[in-house]
Amino acid sequence: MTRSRRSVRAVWALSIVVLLVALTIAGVGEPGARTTGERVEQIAATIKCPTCVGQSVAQSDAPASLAIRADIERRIGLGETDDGIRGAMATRFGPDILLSPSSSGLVGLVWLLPLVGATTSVAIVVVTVRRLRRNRGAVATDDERTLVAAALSDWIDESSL
Amino acid sequence: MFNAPLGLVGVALGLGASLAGAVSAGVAARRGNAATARAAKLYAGLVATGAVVAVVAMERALITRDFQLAYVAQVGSSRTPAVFNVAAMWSAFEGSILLWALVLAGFLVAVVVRFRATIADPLVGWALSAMFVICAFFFGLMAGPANPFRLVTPPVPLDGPGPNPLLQNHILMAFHPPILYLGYVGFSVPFAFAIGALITGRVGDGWMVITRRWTLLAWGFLTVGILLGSWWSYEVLGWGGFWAWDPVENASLLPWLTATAYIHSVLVQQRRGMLRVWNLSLLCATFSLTILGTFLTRSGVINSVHAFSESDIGPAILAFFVLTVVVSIGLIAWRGERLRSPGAIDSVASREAAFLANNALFAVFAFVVLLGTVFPLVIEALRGDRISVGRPYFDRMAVPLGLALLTLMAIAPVLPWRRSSTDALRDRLTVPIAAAAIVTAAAVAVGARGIVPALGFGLGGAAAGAALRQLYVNIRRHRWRGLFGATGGGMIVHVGFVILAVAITAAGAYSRRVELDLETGRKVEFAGHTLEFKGTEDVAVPSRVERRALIELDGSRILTPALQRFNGSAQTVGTPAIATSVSGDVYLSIVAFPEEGGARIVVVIMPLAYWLWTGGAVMGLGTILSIVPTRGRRRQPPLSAPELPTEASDQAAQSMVSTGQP
Repeated sequence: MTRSRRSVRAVWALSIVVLLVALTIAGVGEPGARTTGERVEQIAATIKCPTCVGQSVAQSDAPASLAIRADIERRIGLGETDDGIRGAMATRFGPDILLSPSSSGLVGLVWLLPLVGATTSVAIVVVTVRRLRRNRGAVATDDERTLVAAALSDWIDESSL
Repeated sequence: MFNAPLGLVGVALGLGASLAGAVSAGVAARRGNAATARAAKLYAGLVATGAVVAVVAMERALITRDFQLAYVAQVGSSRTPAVFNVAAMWSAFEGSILLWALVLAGFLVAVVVRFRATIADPLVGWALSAMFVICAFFFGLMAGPANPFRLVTPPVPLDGPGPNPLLQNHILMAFHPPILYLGYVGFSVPFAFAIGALITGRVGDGWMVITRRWTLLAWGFLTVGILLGSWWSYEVLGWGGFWAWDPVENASLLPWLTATAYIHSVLVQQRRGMLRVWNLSLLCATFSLTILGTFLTRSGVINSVHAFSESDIGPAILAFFVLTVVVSIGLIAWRGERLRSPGAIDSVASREAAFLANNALFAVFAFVVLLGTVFPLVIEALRGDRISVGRPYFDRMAVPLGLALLTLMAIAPVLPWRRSSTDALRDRLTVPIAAAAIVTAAAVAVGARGIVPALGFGLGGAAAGAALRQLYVNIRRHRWRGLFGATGGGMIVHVGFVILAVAITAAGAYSRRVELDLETGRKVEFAGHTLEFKGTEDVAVPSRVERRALIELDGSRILTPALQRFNGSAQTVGTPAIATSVSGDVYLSIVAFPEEGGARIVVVIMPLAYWLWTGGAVMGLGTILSIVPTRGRRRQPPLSAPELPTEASDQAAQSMVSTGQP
C-alpha cells in the first residue's frame, strides 16, 4: 500500500469516526424544551386562518387568528396536548382548518401517492440503468448506425448559427 | 387622453404580427423558402414594437394618472411614489400579462438577432413559428379577456387606491416580478427549439446545444426571481418566514424543479447520447408548468397571499396549457423511433447513472409539490369536501427529498463519466467525506442538535466539498478560465445551493418565534436578546401614514417595526424591522398597538437568514459564469469520446466540454 493510499484510508476512517460521534451527540440532544409562547406559535403554524387567504394562524394578524392564538394559549394552560388542541380546532372549524391533511380515507392518498411516485421512479431508474447497461459493447446494427449518422448530421456548430 | 387607443393599437399590432409571423415562419420552414423566412425579422420587430407601444401607453397612463383606464383606476393613485407607480403596471393581472408579452417579445427579437444568419434553417424557422404562436396567445389575451386598456364606466374617478399596500412598501417589487418573468418566459426559447427539433425530426443534440445558454439564462433568472420573491416575503409580510409553500410559490418552484433536472440530464445526452425523450419531456413540462402555474394562481381556483391579481381568463389559459401538453406529447410520440437512445450506461458508479438518480429525485419533488398544490381541488371536485394542504405537509415531504439531493450533490460531481473503480471513487470522495465530518463536528460544537439538521449540515458540507474539489481541479488545469463554463460555473452554483440549503436547514430547525406584549420601561428577554419598548413615533407622507414602535435591542440599537396605512386604505400593513448579522436575524413585527399603550409584537430569531440571500447571489453568479463563453470553445460530438478511466483523462474530457480545448 502506497503512502498516499494509506493517507486516504486514514482520512476516511477519521472522518467516519468524527461523523458518528457528532451525529450521536446531535441525535441524543434534540432541540430543547419550548416556552408556552413558542408552543403557541408552532401549533398556530399548522392551523389555517379561517378568514384570510392562504395564511396560517401564525402568519396572520386577522382578528380570527388572534382569537385562535389566544385559545391555543388557554388550552396549553389547561394542559392539553398539541394534537389535542389541533383536534379541538378541527371539531370547531372543520377538518380543512388543519394545514396537515388527514392520513386516512381518500384524503390519505396525498401521503401515499408520493411514496408510490418515489417507488415508481426508483423502479424506472433501475430498469433504465439495466436496459442501458445491456447496450454495452453491443455491435451496432445498421439501424443504430443510421441513428448515429443522423445524430451526427444534425449536429449544428454553434458558430454557424 | 389617447393612452387607451395607443395601447390597443400596440396590442393589435402585436397580435397581428404574431399571427402573421407564426404562419410565415411555419410556411417558410416547411417549404424551405429563404425569402419568406427572412420576413420573420420584420414580424418580430413588429411584435416588439407592438409590445413596447402598449407598455409605453400603460406607463404613460399610470404616470399621468389617466383614470379613464379601468386598470389605472384599479392600481393607480396620485399619492403613490414614482417608482411604485411605474411598478404598478405588474401589480395586477392585466398588467402582468402585458409585462409577460413585453418580455416574450424581447426574447423573440433576441432569438431572431442571434439566429439571423441561419433564419432559413427549418429548425430555426419552426422554433420561431412556435414563439410567434406563444406571442399570439398572450397578445390575444390582451385583445380579449385580459384587456389592460379597458375604459371605466363613467363617471371617471378623480383618484385611485394605488397598488395593493403589500406591493408598495418594498423596492423589491420593482425587480422581483420582471426577473421572475424573465425566467418563466425565457423557457419559451428552448421549448420552441424543442418543438422545432421534433417537427423537423432533427432530434439529436444540435437544438440542445444552441439553446444551452438560453436555458441557463432562463434558469438563472427564475432562480434569482424566486429568491427575490422569498426575500420580499420575508421583508414585507411580517410573519418572519421566507417560504410558506403557498400555491404561488409552488407555481414558481415547479418549473424550477423540472428545469434543474433538465440542466443536468441534458449533459447526459450531450456526453452519452441518452435520455432524448426524457429531455424533451422535461423541457416541455417546464414550459407547460409555467402556463399551469399562471392558470392556478391567476384564475382564482386557488387562493394565495401572493395572488394580487385574479381574473376570469382561467379557461383560456387552461386551454393553452392543454394545447401545449397535447402538442408536445403528440410530437414526441410521432418522433418516437428517432428518439431511441443509442448510448449505454457502463456502470452504476458513473456520472450518467448519478444524473439519472438526480432526475428521478427532481421528478418526485415536482410531483409532490404539484400533488400538494392541486390535491385540495381534486378532493373538492370528487367529494365536495374542503381540505387544506399546507406547510406541515410540504415540510415533511421536502426534508427527505432535500437530504437525498444533497447526498447526490456530494457524489455526482466527483464521479467520472462511464465508470469508476472503487479506488478512484474512494480517492475522489475523500474531500467530500472529510468536509462532511468537519462541518458536522463544527455545527455540533456550536450547539446544533437534532439528527435531521445535523445530517443536513453534514451532507451540505460534503456537497460543498465535492463542488470545491471539482472547482479546484478545473482551476488548476485551466487557471482563471476554470471558473467558467459548465464545470466552473456549475460548481459555483452548487456551492450557492449548499449555502442556501444549510441556511434553510438552520432556519427550519432552530428559528424561534414568539408573540410578546411590550410596555414602556419593562425589559423583555427572549432567546438571549433583551427588548425594551421606548415609545412610538408617527410619520405621515403623501402615500401613507405610519406608526413606528421604537424598540431597543440588547441595549444598543433601536429597531422600528411599523404599521402602515396606504392612501387612506382601511388595510394596515406591517413593516418588520430586522437586525441582521452573519449568525442570524432578530426580526420584529408589529401585531397591534393596544389602546392602553405599548405594542404587541412578533419576535423571530432566524439563524443564518443572511446566508439565504448570499446563497442565492452565489447561484446567480455561478449561472453567469456558466453562460459566459470561454475562448476557443469547441463542441464535443454527441456521443462520448473513447473510454477515459483515469481521473486525469476524465478531467481532460471535462475540459473539452467546459473550455472547448481538446
